[in-house]
Amino acid sequence: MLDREPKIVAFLCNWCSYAGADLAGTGRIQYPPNVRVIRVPCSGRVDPLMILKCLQRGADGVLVSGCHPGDCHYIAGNYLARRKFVLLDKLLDFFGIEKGRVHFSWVSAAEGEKFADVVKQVTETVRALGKPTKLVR
Amino acid sequence: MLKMAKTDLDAFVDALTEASYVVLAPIEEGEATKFGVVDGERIRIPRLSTRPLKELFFPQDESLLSFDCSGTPDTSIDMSGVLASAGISPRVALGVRPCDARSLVLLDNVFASDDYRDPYYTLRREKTVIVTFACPLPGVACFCESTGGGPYDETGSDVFFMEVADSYLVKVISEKGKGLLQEVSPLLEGSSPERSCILHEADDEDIQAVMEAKAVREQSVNTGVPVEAAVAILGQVDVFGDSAWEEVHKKCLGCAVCTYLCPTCHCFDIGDEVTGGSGERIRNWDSCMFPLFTLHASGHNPRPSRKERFRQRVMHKFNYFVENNDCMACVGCGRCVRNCPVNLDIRQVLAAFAGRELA
Amino acid sequence: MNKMTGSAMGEDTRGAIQEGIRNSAARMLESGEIDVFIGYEDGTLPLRTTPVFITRPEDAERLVWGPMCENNLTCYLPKFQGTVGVVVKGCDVRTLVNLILENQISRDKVKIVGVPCTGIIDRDRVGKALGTDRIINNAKVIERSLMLEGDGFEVEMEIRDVLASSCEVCRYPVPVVYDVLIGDESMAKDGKDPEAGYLEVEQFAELQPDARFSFFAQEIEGCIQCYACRQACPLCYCLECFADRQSPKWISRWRGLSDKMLFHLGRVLHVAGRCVDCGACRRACPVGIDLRLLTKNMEKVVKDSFEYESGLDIGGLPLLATYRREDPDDFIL
Ligand code: SF4
Ligand code: SF4
Ligand code: SF4
Ligand code: SF4
Ligand code: FES
Repeated sequence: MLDREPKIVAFLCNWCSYAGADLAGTGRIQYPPNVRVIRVPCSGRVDPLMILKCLQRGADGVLVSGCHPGDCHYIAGNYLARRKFVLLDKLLDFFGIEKGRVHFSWVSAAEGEKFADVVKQVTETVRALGKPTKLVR
Repeated sequence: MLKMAKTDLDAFVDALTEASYVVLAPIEEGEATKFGVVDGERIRIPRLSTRPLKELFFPQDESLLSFDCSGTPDTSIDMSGVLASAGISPRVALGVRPCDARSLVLLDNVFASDDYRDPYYTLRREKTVIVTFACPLPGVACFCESTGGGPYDETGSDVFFMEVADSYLVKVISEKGKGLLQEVSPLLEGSSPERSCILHEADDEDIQAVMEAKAVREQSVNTGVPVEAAVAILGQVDVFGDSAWEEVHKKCLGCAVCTYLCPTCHCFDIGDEVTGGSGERIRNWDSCMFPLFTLHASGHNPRPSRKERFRQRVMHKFNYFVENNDCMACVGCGRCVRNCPVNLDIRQVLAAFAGRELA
Repeated sequence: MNKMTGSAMGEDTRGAIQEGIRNSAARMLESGEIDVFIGYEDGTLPLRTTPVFITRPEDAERLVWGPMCENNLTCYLPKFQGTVGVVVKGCDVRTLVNLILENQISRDKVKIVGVPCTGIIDRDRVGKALGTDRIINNAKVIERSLMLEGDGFEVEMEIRDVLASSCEVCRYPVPVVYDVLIGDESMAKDGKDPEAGYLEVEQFAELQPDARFSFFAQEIEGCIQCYACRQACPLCYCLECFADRQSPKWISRWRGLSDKMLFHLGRVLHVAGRCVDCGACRRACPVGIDLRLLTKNMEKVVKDSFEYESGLDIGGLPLLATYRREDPDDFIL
């Protein structure tokens, strides 16, 4: 269990998840203030290296969120991204990094409620994992 | 000349430790060997450590200083990096091979010359006594003799161990070496006979035996590498544009194996690692085989391909270094030969130039 | 022709393959079909061959063949203009297929001389079997054994006991694409156990995460960041590797472990779905770092998750240049 507030980097795609976060805000839905949002054009823009770098430089967790399959503004960005995420997810696990540091979600612009839920779930998982030690520089 | 039983080596090391020396000898790291602190383990001296001796003095990376400019407008600079090197305990590098010992003398030209004395390097150098072990039969990649060294070459050593049958003959080479032996002598008698090292005068028979072993070993080193002839050709102005470079470099992959493992390669990079307003200035090995080595900020690269980079490596070792320091930057240790992933053999490159008539 | 059994893979067979390679190279150079032929010639150290670039038909005699032909020569292909002939083993040709798929070379600019491969020798294994610090002066392959001569010893070893670990579990020893195939396909499959490679990965995955992490930490600790693994890999052809980027600086060459881990994780991700387990990276490493478990696991992940195997389908698309709607989705919130 982490004895301080976890710091989570969230890469949100401009067209869906970022708008979903916005909706959560305008709808005044409460969610933990632990995420630091980085807006990206598409989930396909997220290079797995960015995720690794976050973990290295002290993020307790990382969330990557994009449009639902079929809804990507660039047609297939999230499908292509999903393949990379499968690889990263399995690689980190095999490498011995604890499960639950890195999360992926699909959140649409209409899903403010879901965004808040995802952030809650991610924050609690990351908090429970305690202080990261493995890739940290 | 002194003599001790081979089996007494561990007791000798114990005595060094008791005299508050940090003992550095070849240790295993995974599949490789490198010089590291021995701490009670038995000493096992490989033919030649995978990683070169140079890293005891010029480590792969080190912090030169740290700074903090986050608070006040003044930047505070902390030079404790230098001080830390100054504060290192006296050390003994034990089980050095003659080629590696010799490499230090070449490196001194760069880091401890009259023109420039690198504080980090020189401090470590001053604090370290080099105890060299003459080579057993040389390996197939060795060509130390051709570069002016040899399996019994004492250059760069403070104390020199030579093996005969079950013993080592121990020769004091320098004042530093003499001091070391004087210091440890009273401590050689350990807690039990097994933990004691008996060091006594060698007799004529021993010396005779060592001379014989020496002759055999010196003869079995590859002396056929035309280094001198190559140096002469590489010293000619026209060589830079010679078409042979195209041929000799072709299979090079452009990795840093040959340069990083070379005991005499000494190129480095300095950069700042900054987080927020504070950071450290670091120095780390660099390699002329990397494109980044000469990449300009503009994007222009004066050594655009592997050909120019490979040429640089050869020219630096066998021409520029010779011009600057009157000796070539190669001790014939064969590490680059043994470890090149594509068996690009520097000896063949030298031979190719030695036999060449330049246009 | 009589079908040869594995144990009959003798000097004659190897000699015949070598002859075949020399003849093909000479013929293609003579006819002007190719400008250069990339093969192996004798190296300067025992147990070694070295890459050679032949441009004149009469030099084709320098070409050799045998279980010491360890380099993956396809790494040179993107460097050449003109048409190139190259000799490839089962694994090498799959990196070549990937280079074609990824538009690094074009199929009509390369003449592929394939050889069904019985496996190559792992020099480190030979050294270990021999004991520390023995000097080998001479190594010869006779039939299926390796004869070693050195400082006062003569030893014979079975080649299959000192094969490279990738070769022991090779799935495709026979080149999947070629212009000329030299040798006997049946021998190549002999003694290989493709499933064992995945078994090893599965067993490792059963360890506790901390144990897995410490294993990798220990392995990676010794990395000197010489990048020979990257340079030897035919698939690491990027003009600027992420490890060399200065802005942003992904990998620092300072204070080791974490940055070295990032390099290796990044490298494995970059060769995911492309790596063919040729083992060139492993052999290139001067300090013996073995991260084959990582690449092998990735190969298995790719196969299980996407039913994709690298370098088999010359008409296909690279793994990450395509997708299927039904790709795994269950890990996404
Ligand atoms: S070790 Fe070999 S391949 Fe690597 S840079 Fe040196 S010569 Fe080239
Ligand atoms: S160039 Fe090669 S043989 Fe010469 S000192 Fe360096 S590593 Fe040793
Ligand atoms: S990553 Fe290694 S095993 Fe895989 S293709 Fe590249 S060199 Fe071969
Ligand atoms: S070849 Fe070995 S030492 Fe060099 S970068 Fe790769 S793993 Fe590290
Ligand atoms: S635009 Fe949202 S995932 Fe591509």
